[in-house]
Amino acid sequence: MKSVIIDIADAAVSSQPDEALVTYSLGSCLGVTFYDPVLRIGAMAHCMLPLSSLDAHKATEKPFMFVDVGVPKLLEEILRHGCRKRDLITRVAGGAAALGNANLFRIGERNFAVFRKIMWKNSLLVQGEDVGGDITRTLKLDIATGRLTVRTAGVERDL
Amino acid sequence: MSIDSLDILSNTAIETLERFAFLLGDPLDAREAGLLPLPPCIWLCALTFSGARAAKIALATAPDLARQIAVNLYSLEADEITEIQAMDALKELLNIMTGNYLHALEGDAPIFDLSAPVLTTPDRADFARQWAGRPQVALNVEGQPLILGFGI
Amino acid sequence: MAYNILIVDDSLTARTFIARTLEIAGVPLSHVYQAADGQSALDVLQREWVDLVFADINMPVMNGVELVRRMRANDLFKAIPVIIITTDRSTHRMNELHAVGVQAYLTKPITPEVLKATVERFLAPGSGAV
Repeated sequence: MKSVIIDIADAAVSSQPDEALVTYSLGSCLGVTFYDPVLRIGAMAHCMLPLSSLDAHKATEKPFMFVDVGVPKLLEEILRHGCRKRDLITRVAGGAAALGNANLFRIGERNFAVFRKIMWKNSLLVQGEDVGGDITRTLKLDIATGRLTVRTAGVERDL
Repeated sequence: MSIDSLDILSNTAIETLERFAFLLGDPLDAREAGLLPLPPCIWLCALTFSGARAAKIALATAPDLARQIAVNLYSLEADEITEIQAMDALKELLNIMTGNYLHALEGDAPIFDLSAPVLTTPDRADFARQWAGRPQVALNVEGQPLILGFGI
Repeated sequence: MAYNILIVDDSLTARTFIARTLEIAGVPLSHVYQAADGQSALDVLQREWVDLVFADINMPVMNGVELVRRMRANDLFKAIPVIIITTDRSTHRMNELHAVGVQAYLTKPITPEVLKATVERFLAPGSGAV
């Protein structure tokens, strides 16, 4: 299986059955995935910060840096591939406490709150979540099967 | 009113704003709160609670914040939100905030009764006089002020 | 199969929020009735067929505890499942409501996922719903 690595503030969509979308080091960042089990298309984004109003110019250059523009954009892109919103499986991981950086006030919780707002506005259910705490997570989405695994401290579980 | 209980109120208010209204709040210290300009129009929402503790709690903010809360909850555009919806959204925010605050303070054993929240639009000068020097929590909620206090 | 739901809360925002949460949760809805207090809720129950009731506790005129007591004392309504949605987390209150026959007790703010998991327990099995 070929791994497509998604860096921080980035995203990808895949319809290749031999691919897996992977993102590492989800601390306070949020890893958001959409998967269409009918068309077998998956999308993943690794978002750092909650609101793009922090840096509107950056939000234009790197929309996936921010949850409030990145997640709607990820949704838009997977729908553009022909997926229907009602078929999508939405799952999320990350949003942990930002250890060692007191300037980022509740950054994990805020990323998750803005994500929840977007889900509410789009009438989407969250079918799997592994958020909070003070751990780092790795996320892997298998495009052929839609299986999403979260790895933390060497332990893997399905979401 | 102890500093601990004000801290709990601040944390509870911020959590409730995130989880219920999908808004992000930053706590302001006394100096920052003192510099906070009063909005031209103030909505003051208050309720009384009784039981293991009894007091009146009040929340003051600008109508624009109440409208933003309603936009998020009703999933409507700003120009579709009525004044009734905005006022009711603010009352429900205070209701949930107060319930969560009291249980954060006292745990899950005690029973509390909460009155229905009441919303008024006080005169700015009267409001400033009543709130001056009182223990309070001040937040910046995505650019809008929100103040919580007791016994007002 | 689609369901008739009654939402009882003195807050318009809370009633609207719960109604939309039910939609997002994929609960098939035939009709959603709303009432702002326990007495108005009983009036709805007298007139309409209701499959499931959501009720707050603190309400004017008649609170949620009294509403449930009256429902359970009436042969017409006693079998209707009631889910409490409230800010009140006191264990005493929860026990009191379970004793008068409430099926589930949720604390605000609720999420569509929690509501879906709770409601699924009371919908007809094999209905193809949610």
